Amino acid sequence: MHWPKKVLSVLIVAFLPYSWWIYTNATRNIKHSAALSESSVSNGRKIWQKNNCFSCHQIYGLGGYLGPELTKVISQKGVPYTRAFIQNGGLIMPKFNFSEPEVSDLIAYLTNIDSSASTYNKRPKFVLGNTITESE
Amino acid sequence: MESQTKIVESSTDKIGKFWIHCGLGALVFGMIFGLIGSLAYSKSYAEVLKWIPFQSLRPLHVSFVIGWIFMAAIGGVFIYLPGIVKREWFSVKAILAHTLLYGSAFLLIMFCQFLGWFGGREYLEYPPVLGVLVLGGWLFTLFNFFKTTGFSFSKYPVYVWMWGTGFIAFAYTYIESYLWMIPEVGNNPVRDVAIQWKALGAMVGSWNMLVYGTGIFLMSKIKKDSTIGFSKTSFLFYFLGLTNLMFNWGHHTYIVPASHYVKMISYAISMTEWILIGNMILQWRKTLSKSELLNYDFSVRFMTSADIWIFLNLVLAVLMSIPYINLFTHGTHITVAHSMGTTIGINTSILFASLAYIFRDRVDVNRKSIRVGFWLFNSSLAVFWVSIIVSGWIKGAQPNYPFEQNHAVWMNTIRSYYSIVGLSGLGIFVGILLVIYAFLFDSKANKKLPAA
Repeated sequence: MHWPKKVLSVLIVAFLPYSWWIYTNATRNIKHSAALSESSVSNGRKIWQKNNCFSCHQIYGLGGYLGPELTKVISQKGVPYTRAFIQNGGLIMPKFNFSEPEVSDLIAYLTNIDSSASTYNKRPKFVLGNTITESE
Repeated sequence: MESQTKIVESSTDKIGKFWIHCGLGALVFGMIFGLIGSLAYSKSYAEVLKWIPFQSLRPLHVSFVIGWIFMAAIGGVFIYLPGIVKREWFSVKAILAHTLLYGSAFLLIMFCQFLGWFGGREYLEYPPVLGVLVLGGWLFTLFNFFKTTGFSFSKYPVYVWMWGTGFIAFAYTYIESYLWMIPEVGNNPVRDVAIQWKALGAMVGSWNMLVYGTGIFLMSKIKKDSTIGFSKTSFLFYFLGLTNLMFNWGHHTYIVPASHYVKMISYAISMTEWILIGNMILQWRKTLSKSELLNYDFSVRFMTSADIWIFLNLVLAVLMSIPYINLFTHGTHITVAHSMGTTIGINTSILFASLAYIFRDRVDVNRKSIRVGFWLFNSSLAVFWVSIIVSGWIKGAQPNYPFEQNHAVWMNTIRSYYSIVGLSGLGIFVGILLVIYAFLFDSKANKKLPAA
């Protein structure tokens, strides 16, 4: 057997179970907010996608940079602050005229993401010209 | 050693050139939407966004520029492959079917995004149903490619392996990027984002296979050395690239609470890229001193500039892959600098080298235009790249980033850098227009493909 074929076979054999592991076990043990309605979270995701919120906002670092990263927006800013922005827009963010149930679904979607983001509580602080320290 | 393969007139040359011309058109439109989008960061954004909102501008920009990379790379493969495998494409009808399906999908995607009908996924922001057209067309060429080459790849140079890998990898990652439609994925935010990063990271790797394969093909043709495509080193770098395509995406997910092993594997894999960097430093001088390369000087110039951009972006990528540094760069414009540096500096430069080879008769009578375009493109890109890195650094270095952030305050601090980004983006645009002019517009040019 031609040696590049052997190497290619080994890589494919490693890749397929690795991918399956990512689709299943590697992403299984996460926290969810049990208090949330599953349909509300799912509707919130649909509204998020329908309005292409990723073009300006990031979730887990994925998305655009014109608006703020929203992975932990609920625990950092609170529900009333988030709700006000969703309802009214901001300096750059347009007013989308969401209905009250749509706003609640978006809040549920963001709350669910927030509750899954356990690693976001352990990021270190960095001060220019100073030392690096751990923060909770 | 003199190359044994020759580029011969193929019945698919015209279709290949059609893809390239459409790709160049997509590049121009992509640049225009990018420039308009950059205004959103300046104080004049309010006026601009009245006409076309940012949530439409960004996907239009992204779809057009990714379209440029795919169309120019695939158009090149349509032209080059028959000369390498010494036979015509298995089916011209399959190529036409891909052209029709992808062309329809592309126009519908732009139409939907312009009107604000979104699927809302990062980089695939069009309605998911259009993905069926994209994938359907792609499968025609995937099938056609392997029917043309056969499955016994041992006799072929590494760039044929790379093109084949690129075709398969794109089909796989494109399907993978729609796994969110299964509730077990879409309703689990960690699984959803991990798979999305995996699919998008590998998708970039798939088009890199098409583009870098073209780069190695060009090196082999220009140096008139067919051994390049069969050397152990070329295959080692192909496998290094493939390993990174399969496993390296995880450096985007250090902050995602998936299994720790995902992070450890991707960190280990990403560090292998230092091998590429080390090799490039060793080979650089040799590559630049070859006097025979002057016969194809603009292809060589673009390949050399791609070499420099590969080096700079690899250093940036490897630094970003170090978990502690990643904590400060992730979610900042440093990630944007990396993606802009690779798509513009590397992919576009290699594709321009390919086009300078295909249209070299036209390039020869438009030397001034392409020379000015080349320098304007690269110098503007350098300013553009550094400005984005600096604005990302300012964000990442905030004492409480990403906590307690005041986004509006941060936006004000980077506004001046974004004015530089916009101006240098204009420089890139003008440089690209001059290069495109040299490729397309000269009545004296011989329109036949040159023999190697």
